[in-house]
Amino acid sequence: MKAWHLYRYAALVLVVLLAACGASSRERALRTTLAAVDASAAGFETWDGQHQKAIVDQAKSADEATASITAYRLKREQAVAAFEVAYHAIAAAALHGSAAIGPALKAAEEAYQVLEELKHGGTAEAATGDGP
Amino acid sequence: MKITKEKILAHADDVEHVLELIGDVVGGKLGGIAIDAARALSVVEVAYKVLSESLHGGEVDIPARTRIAALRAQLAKNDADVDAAIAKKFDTGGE
Repeated sequence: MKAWHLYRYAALVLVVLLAACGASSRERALRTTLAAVDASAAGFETWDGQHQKAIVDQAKSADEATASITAYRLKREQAVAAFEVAYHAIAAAALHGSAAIGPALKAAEEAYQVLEELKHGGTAEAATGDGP
Repeated sequence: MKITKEKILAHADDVEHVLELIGDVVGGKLGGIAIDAARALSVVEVAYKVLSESLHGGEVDIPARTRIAALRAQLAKNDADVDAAIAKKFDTGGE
């Protein structure tokens, strides 16, 4: 199972666990969401390095490589920002209880979506091509 | 015992000792991430924040900022490797 798909698993687990409405269930839901975000971040780090190297491999000049890499890194900032939101939302949920778990999951899902858009809509899309 | 910045600094002989405290308190793989992040940034300030927020946050061991710092640190490393690859491929370093 790809790390990215852990988000979907986390969503299903969260629905089930929230139905139990117990404090320990909420903690498990939060930990599951956090584990999914961590796994996706780790996968993102690996994919990022591979994707950038593929861009360089396809480039025919230093200027082309630099321009393509610069454009990709600008788009990448959206994904990093999404992860920041997700992590802060999870931390807030840990401190403030079950009312904040929904926003934490939503932030995690949005980070996943931003990453998917980065993988399939960035420069040199065909470079790595390892979509879901 | 309440962990305070002063106690951390009083008990830590040096930066590496502070990092060991992080590992002892947080533990495991996430402790490793925290340590790497602390090394990437201002070590003492991050070490203090990791320890204090880890204890305050309860079950969520690592604060958001440390995880974000770890992500950014790895991406920066990727960038450095790629920049070197560009220079090597197109020989922009010059001879």
